Amino acid sequence: MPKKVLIVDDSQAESRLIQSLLQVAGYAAVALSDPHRIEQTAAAEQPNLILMDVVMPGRNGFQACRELKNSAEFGAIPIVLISSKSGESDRFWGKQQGADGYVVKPFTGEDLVGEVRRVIG
Amino acid sequence: MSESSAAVVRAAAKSGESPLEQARIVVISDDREFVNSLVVSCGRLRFSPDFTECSVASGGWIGSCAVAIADGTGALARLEPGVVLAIVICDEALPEVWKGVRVVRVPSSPGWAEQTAALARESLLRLQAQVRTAALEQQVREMERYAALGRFIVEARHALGNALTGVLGHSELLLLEAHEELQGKTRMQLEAIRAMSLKIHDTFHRLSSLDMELRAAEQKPEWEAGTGMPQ
Repeated sequence: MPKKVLIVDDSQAESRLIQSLLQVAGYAAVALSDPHRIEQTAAAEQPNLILMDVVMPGRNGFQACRELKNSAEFGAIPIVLISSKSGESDRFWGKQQGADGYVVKPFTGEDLVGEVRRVIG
Repeated sequence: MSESSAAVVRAAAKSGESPLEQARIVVISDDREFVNSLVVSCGRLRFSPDFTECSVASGGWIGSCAVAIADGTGALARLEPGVVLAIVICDEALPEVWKGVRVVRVPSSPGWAEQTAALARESLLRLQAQVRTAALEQQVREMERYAALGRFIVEARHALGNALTGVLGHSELLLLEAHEELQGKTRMQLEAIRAMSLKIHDTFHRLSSLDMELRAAEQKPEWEAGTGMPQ
């Protein structure tokens, strides 16, 4: 059974692309555009990993990551953040929020799948 | 701020010089004792500006200066528009402005020299504060320009990064998923698109690394960068 990735990105075009790249690499992928529904979707889908954009309206990736990692129910799910911010301080800040991985945009399929594979195999 | 004062402030702010260095005091008098009294009074205030002496009778260029101190009304004719403040020692009534120069009268009673020195000092200090303010305002304007440029670069980078991710991803997917169906020429063109977008991707990351390296170099202590020794 393929490992499942929950993609959280307010851009549907980007979500679809990531979904396709992961599916080609052998993962099952579910896309979500509303960052406020992460917990609800994660409870229903039981993903092995959450792949999340940082810049999202209403609830940004850092904030969502911190809240998920602090929750008893979802704290164990690995999270990989996707951001166009490539500074060391941005990566550090992402790790501070509990993220397990960080992918910088623009990324290739190899960059993305490589990071997912590093975290969940 | 008067027009001539604003001109001195602008010139000093532009050159980066202190107005106390840049602005001199011109003393227009034929009386040596007059000049000596002023120098002594300034010394009592621990104020030692650059004095230039000018004769009332003979001609000669005064030029722009912060303060002109004139011995009697006869010296008024010598004033130049570049002077910020003229202090005239006399007992007659004077116009407040003469040839565009602000004029202050000091009566020739005892204590005139001390009063004049204090006025000149205050005028120079005020000018110095005005120059500092103008320089700081200039700095703020420059910082605002840099900040706007920075915001624009961040936004452009974000938009370009997103667009390039799409080009990279979709070309990769097409090559992977539709590899068998693609005709020779179409596949070649798609591979060229993919190769070009990968080049842009590499350049993008190299520019980001360069930006980080430059920032790190700026933060290095001077001695570490080889430009000085540690204190």
